[in-house]
Amino acid sequence: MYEVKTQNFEGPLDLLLKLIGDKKLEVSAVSISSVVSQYLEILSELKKRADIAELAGFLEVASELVLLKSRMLLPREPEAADEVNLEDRLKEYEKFNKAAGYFEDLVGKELRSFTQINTPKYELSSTFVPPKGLDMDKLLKIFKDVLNTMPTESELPEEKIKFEKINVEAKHAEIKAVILAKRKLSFSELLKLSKTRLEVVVTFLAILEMIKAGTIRVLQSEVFDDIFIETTERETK
Amino acid sequence: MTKEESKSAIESMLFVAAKPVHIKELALTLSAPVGQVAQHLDELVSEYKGRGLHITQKGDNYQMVSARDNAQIVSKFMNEELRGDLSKAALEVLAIIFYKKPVTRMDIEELRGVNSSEVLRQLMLRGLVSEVGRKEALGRPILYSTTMDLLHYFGVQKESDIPDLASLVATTSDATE
Repeated sequence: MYEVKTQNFEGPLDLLLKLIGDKKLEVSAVSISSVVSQYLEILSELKKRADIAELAGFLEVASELVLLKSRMLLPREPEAADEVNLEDRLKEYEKFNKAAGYFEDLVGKELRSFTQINTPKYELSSTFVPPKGLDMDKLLKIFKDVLNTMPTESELPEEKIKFEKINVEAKHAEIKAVILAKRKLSFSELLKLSKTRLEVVVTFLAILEMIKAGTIRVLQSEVFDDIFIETTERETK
Repeated sequence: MTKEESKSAIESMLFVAAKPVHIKELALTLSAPVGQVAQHLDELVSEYKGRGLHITQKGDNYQMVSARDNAQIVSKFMNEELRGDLSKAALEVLAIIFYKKPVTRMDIEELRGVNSSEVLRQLMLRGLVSEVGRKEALGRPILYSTTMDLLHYFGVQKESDIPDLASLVATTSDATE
């Protein structure tokens, strides 16, 4: 696996293009996992300094990458016809990325035409003609009056948004520990550990990850029956 | 008016205008058909080869500018930096506008996946990009296009001197393979 150390990129697609690099454009053929994890790593680094507007674009591409990854974990469902595929988007972007490179070369040739310098025929003199009887005191009074008419800043009421925080990695480790300890348990048993809906989602994702990694096996005798989970790893003592 | 007189008059008008002139304006002033003026312009363009002045063309607009080969000396004379100082992002936005014009800011940002308003503003200040109207869509967004000054900046005489996107992509990928 190779790493991208450069922080030299212009937006999310540019970054992705650099990550994929010489692996060519077949995003699905590339070891998508390694690209996703590298991308997310850089994203978490970026989170510390980039502003929200800038981050939004990166997050959007990240979510599309994760969608692509989850499609490979789960059985395929047909893509919606109007869905813009990340691969196509990247291909389209790459064209302009190349064109920009060509433009850069063009500018680098330092061949440029110049137009005639437009000089104004005459300049207006900038003299200040104060009205009669104006002195410093009057000017000060006018200035104060102007200041008084300015609207004062009113304080806006503050409202706190409750935000549920889950450390996904910690949760994964927790679930893994439970499964390894019990060797075999049901999914509903596992869910008892979750207090909120979000935690249930994270638990489910963790299970999917572990199936993919091959560390667990799941059994379900009938649809909507409870799912049994057992570890494939030998007991370590 | 003879052909030589007409060409001479066109030359004078382009010189004093010092900005892009529409062919119709030239034809109207000369009371001559547009086709004839176009032909005279074509001849003038080729006659200027090797001279200190060039006639550039963008669509139906023509402008007289300094010859690109004199860029080094002219920039020294004008005390202007010749080095390309456009950022990678700016070049990318320029490429998108040039090949897809007219485009909205949304079109550009969708393609790049990143906010581009600041880059766009800088390009407009430089006169390389301009507003050309509004799109008849929700919110009537502003449409942008590249300007004649972009051609001067690149040192090309007309837009068709810049290869189209398809052949550009083909040649650059050939080179890397």
